[in-house]
Amino acid sequence: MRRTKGTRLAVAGLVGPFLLLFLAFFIAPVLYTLYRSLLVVHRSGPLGLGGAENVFGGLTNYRWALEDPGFLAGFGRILLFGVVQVPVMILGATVLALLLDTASARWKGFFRSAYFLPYGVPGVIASILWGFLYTPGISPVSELFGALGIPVDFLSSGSILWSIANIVTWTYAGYNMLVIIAQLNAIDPALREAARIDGANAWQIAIRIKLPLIRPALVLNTVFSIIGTLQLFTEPLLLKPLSGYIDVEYTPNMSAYAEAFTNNDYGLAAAQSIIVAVTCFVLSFGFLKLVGRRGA
Amino acid sequence: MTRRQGFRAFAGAAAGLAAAGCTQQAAPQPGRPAMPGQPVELEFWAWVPGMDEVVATWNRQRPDIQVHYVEVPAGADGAYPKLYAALEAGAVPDLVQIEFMELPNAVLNRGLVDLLPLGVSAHRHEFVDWTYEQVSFGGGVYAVPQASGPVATFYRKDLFDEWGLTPPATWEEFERVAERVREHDAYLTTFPTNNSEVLSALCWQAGSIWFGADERQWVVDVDNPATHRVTDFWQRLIDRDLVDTIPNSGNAFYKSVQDGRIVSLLGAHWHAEVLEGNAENTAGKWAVARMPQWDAAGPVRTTNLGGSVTSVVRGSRFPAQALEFALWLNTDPATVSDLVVKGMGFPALADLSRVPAMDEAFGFFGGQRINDVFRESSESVDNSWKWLPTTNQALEHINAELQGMASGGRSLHEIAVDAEAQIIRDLEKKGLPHRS
Repeated sequence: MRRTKGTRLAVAGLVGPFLLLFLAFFIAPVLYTLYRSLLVVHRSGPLGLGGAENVFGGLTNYRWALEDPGFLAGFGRILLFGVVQVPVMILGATVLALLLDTASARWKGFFRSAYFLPYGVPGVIASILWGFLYTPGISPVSELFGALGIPVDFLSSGSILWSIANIVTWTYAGYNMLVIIAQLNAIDPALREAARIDGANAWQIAIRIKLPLIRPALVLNTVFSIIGTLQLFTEPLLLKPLSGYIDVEYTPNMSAYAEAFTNNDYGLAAAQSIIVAVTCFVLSFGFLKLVGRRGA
Repeated sequence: MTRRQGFRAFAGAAAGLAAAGCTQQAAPQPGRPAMPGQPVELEFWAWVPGMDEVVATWNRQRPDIQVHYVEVPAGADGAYPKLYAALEAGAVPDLVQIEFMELPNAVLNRGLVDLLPLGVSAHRHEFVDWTYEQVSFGGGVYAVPQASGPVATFYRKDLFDEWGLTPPATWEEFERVAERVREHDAYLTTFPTNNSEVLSALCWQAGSIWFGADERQWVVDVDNPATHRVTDFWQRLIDRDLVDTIPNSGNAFYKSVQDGRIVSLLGAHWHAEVLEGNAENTAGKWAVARMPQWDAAGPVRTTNLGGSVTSVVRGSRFPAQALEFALWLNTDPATVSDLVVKGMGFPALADLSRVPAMDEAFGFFGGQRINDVFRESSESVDNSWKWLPTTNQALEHINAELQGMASGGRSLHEIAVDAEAQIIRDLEKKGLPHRS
């Protein structure tokens, strides 16, 4: 079919607004961040209060960011978090999805909604809610464990990271499950039928038929989770006042936030943001490449 | 290219938004209203509870200068990010409440008007000396002092009486009392390992001056014998489980206070209001005493925790009128009295004889005239302490180190040395002259 002037106009009309917004709210801020990350402040006068000028500083901000032990520790923490939390969550979501997909499952609709419901709770609310359940002296959970003679402190230095992981898992497991269920529903019923006729039981069908076929959903979920992990911000920020063991550089995103909004160091904050973004790209594409190769 | 120009180049589309505040401030022109016959309108950001009522009083008295009060969340989590974002965007209020410890940073970011050319020095004698010192930097005066936070010991008098204890007069006694309190399955107090401001105040009392400024540069000295004396002391209490280590604010703390599991608090004047608001069920059971001393024989030494000022924001069209309001707010006896009752802290006003609230007996504290204790505390604060433009970062570095200490990893000497090195690096990043 030949493109007429009319279809060209229609395309422009449909894509134009998106492109405009994309440029204004994605590309422009990214470019501005890149630009700001190259500027450093020069000061003059007694006590440095005489005046300030932003001058080109090359990669100074990046050097400062990478020399900051707190910022790097944040990356280490996030990495540890991701290596544990992402597989646990994906595994949990997969098991839930497969259970709901078995022929004998009852009230599928109800459980599907129930598992998904936490995703509808905003991260801020979820963190406050769990914060109450973690706070010693208030938490019925701590009290229960205490009554059983098992003292637990969800906010201590050793457990706080996993308390955050629990909130994230609670929030997103249902969402991931839904993506997997969507893919399970897309599996051709004839395949299951054939397997069943061949004498495969539910377990064998799940492992041999369903799991390989939901691979794309699992990969997608994992990539989203890797990106989400690197962006970890709300949960630790809200638990910070409750625990003595979360500092302002707890995650790389929190570092960038603190540099920008409490330290007013926009250059350094920009450099840190770029580093987080690049790490996101490297890890998610690295993961895609890894699973792609194994698949081939 | 300056920051502003760079900002403008990229924010071309949003130029209208930025235009209002982008120009460098012109010379202040006292007393000229927006239009003849029209009242001057000022915007004021603060967080003292009940400030709206005080502002309403002003608005009734001064139809020519109308103040719009905007309540903002206190401190580093609310007011400051909002202020710095407003400065960046050029849409600023006229007046803001700022803590003493944040003031140098706000000055550094060229966010505040120098009040010296506007004649603030004529009012110097009206304020407590050290508070006026705290608002003066590099030959300018950047705020009208509002309130400080002289520290004393809040304690549960009923429980102390029941257990046959008296509030500790010295730190040595403090340890003994802490031991006795533990016998009753309670803690004397908590050492918040997430709040290095408390540690800074304790070191301030012991004679350690962490930060300061000479004529030309900022001074950092965290790693010194007085700091070690304080940290060694608290480390021992923590190791012996004689004090709790939860944050000294927030749900867990107030629950413990309500339940009588934490029976005292080394707190500032403004904590009276906070305690009352968060532990209503313990009303009448509290009392206030002087904070413990290192040297029982020497002169009384206390410390300060917090406190804030009223500043005029660079970009305000009416700095003279804004100053007039700020001075009224912090020197008018009836107004100050009102704010004290509402919990703003200990007034920075030198002459407190005309402030009725200062003589009040507090029902929450069993009818005690607690301000007598705080008045002595206010007069016993060492004057030489100043904050840095990087105070927030500095305190956060020490927080991170303290957490290491509380979980048993680091020695105190390492904490001080590490923190000092990090604080100096912060100053370097900001391009500020410094020495240690």
